[in-house]
Amino acid sequence: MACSVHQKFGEFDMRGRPKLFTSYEADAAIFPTTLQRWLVGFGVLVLFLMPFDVPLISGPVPDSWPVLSKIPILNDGLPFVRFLGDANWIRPMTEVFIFGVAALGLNILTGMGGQVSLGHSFFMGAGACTAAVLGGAEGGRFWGMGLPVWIWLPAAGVVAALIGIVVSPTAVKLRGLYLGIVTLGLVFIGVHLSRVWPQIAGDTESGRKYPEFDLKLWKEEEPLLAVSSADTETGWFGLNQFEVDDKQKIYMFCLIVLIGMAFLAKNIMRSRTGRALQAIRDRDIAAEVMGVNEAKYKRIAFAISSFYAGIAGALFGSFLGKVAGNQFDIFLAVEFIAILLIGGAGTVSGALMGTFFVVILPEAVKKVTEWLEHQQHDQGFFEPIANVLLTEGPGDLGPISTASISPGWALGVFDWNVVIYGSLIVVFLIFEPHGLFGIWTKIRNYWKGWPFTY
Amino acid sequence: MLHLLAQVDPGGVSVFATLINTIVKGLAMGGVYAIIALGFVIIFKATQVVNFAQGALAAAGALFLSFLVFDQVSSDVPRGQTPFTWWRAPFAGEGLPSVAEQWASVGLVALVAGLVVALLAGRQISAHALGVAFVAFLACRWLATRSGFTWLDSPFVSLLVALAVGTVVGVLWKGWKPPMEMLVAGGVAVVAQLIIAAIDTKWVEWMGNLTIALLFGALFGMFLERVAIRPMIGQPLFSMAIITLGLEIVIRQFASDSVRILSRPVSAPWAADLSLEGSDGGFRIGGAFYNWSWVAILIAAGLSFVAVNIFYRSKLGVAMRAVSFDQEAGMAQGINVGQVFAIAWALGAALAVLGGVFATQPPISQEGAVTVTTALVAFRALPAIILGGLDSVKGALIGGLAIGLAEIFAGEYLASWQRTLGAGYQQIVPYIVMLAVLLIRPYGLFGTPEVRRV
Repeated sequence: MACSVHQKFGEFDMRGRPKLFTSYEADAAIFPTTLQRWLVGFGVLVLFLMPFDVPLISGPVPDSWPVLSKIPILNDGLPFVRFLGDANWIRPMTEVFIFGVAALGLNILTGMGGQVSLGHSFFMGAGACTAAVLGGAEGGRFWGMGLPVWIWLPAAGVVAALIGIVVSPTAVKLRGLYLGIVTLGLVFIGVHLSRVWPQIAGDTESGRKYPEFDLKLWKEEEPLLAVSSADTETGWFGLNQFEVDDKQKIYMFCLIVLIGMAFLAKNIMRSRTGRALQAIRDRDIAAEVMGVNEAKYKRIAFAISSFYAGIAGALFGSFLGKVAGNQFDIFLAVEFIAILLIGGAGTVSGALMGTFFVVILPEAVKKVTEWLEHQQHDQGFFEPIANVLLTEGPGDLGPISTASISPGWALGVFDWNVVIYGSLIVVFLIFEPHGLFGIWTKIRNYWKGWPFTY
Repeated sequence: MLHLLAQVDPGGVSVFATLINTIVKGLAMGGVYAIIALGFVIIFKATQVVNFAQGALAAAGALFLSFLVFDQVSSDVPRGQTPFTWWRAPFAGEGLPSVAEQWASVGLVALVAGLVVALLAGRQISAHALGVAFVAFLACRWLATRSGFTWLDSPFVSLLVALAVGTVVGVLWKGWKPPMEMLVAGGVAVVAQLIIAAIDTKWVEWMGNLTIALLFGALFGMFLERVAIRPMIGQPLFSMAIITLGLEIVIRQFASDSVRILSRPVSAPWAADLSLEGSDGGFRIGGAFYNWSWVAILIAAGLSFVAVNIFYRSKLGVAMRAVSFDQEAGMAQGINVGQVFAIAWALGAALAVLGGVFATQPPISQEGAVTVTTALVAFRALPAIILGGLDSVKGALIGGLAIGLAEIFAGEYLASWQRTLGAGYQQIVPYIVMLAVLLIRPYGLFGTPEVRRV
């Protein structure tokens, strides 16, 4: 028996049995199974290739390809993957990456540490303001130092983390929902502070211009690597195949940051800190009895979580170009809680799945509505459905209004997004408390034991 | 003291009069917070859930009231176009509400008051008998207004007829004993309404509408409890709180869709009537202006506090306290925990609606109408319950008043610092007070510390 143990993967291989882990290293590996390794690798590859015009992923297979061009379903590229290559999805996907960073941070505090925080947007705002001051244009109406991205991006995280450390003693003192409501208070205070210091946060309504992602050594004119400007003529690195514009470059930048932060989060989770936090989450007194320093680890959790939030806030500001201070409000904070609950709190992949789901949802709803409109207009096959769902005026009982102002009972597309998102929180919590990750686990376990039910 | 009294500020109002005025205004503001906080506390005590949907419930209830009292968004929309006028259809002809209609409101108030008292007394009420009584009442009123049966024109007679019918049905159905409290309370309510009606007839209709709005809130609360909270019993408290956040998002979106273009007035009877000369909706003492709504709020807050305290001493209230102490032990003693939860949510939601109606009035809002910001009043009341302690009725009142006083005093006496503190600084004073108190007393002033076991 012993000879069938694969030392390399640490898996215990027996015919017809699920593979077992035989060492701690194998059990705690980032990707414990080969399938996961392949899936994640494939996913990351697709995400990296998405902005480019790659056959199969974002466009049709060229006729010169011998076998693949004969398969009819591949005429437009790979199904499911194909839509990712659409330029319309580049910006929502970038937003997914940015929110993913913030969600990973909240996951460490709330998912791993069990500390309810409704103040994540406050730390995001703190990071965004730091980035705006350090990287913003010099000599304008607003404070700005014109520093390059490699300074303001980490600094945004560090400043937010310091604020997190200042706040963390309340977490030691308060428990559960008391902490949640206090952190909620932070958000209101933060939005107010952004009004008090317009020279930092910008105008109340319109905000200020955020620094660009251009990679510079210092304040020189010509950036080493232009990220925020399109150079479609020469292509990136002068390679014509990689014709990218600024949106795609920002996409790549945020994707790289997200991957780095995700691995960091996964490793924190596997480390002593992560285990201590999980112990505190499961039963704080028991953790203290076992020698876990509660105050210290809560401080660490707040610092790490705020660091992530600060980075995400800085990315978010630069991604949008202009952010007003009051955008970092309670609804943004609730969105992250929703992301965690829908994705599955306590796991990195759950947080990322939840982010994808929640951030892409509005875009998807918008696309579906547009599609319904087309169906109605062109009298397509789904016209009856479109007639029922879309409203034509105050007398019509259709629930969706495509007009910018929707009087009467019909809600606009934006309102429906909010309603769907609120209902999703309720539905997921009632029917699938472990979120998307729970669904994935259930599916996986079903096939693991197949054809048996256990 | 004397020199204080003699001191007169440029506006012609003495410093002392301003001080008293500020105190009353602060207490009024705190009164609204206290009403909403009482709702929070009742729900938290019974179900251990911080109901974040309280604000949305407040907005929805106030909106409901606005539809009841003001069914013309603009003058060219004919009456009866809005969906909530159906309840008046049995009574109403064309044009302005008739005397009979106003009396119908009186009767409804009486009926509802009787039910509440009977519930407080812990009597078992046969739902069938109640339903029959209600239908009988409606039938009486319909007959009175449509067929010229003048003897039915007195709603008191109608009410008696209805109660008699309901009683007979109840006795025949299950040997139900008619609760005397119900009849007594009905009589008391009729007398009270008569007194108010003697002052001004517009009060009668408005109070009737308010009662119906409160009833709507109670039913809505029970519905939410049944749909979203009951399935979650046994889940982590954090999940239950977040579910209410999801509900808040959904309900608020629907509520704010109705007021996004035009705010909807609740037409409070004490408000200034622009068509009358010299009606400014208030009175003056020592030159300082007192709004009638302040008085109304203070009375309502006092009555709510007394009512909640009486309720907790009734049989059902004792059951509720027992359940909040230990659900399983309560169940073993024969308490219907589900019923207790439902009643708690009904009461909490009704208090939220009451608070929401007052949140449209000065000093919270100067508009006298439901706007998109009405729902935010619950977030401003959150510091009040945290300050007083999540599970203390006394704490809700004192916390609410303290927060209101702090906010108004900061607004009044730090106004010269406005430039440093930023516009609207008084709105974050509650959160700062809350933070300061929580760091000294983690469970608020009167909250019960959580007993922690390993």
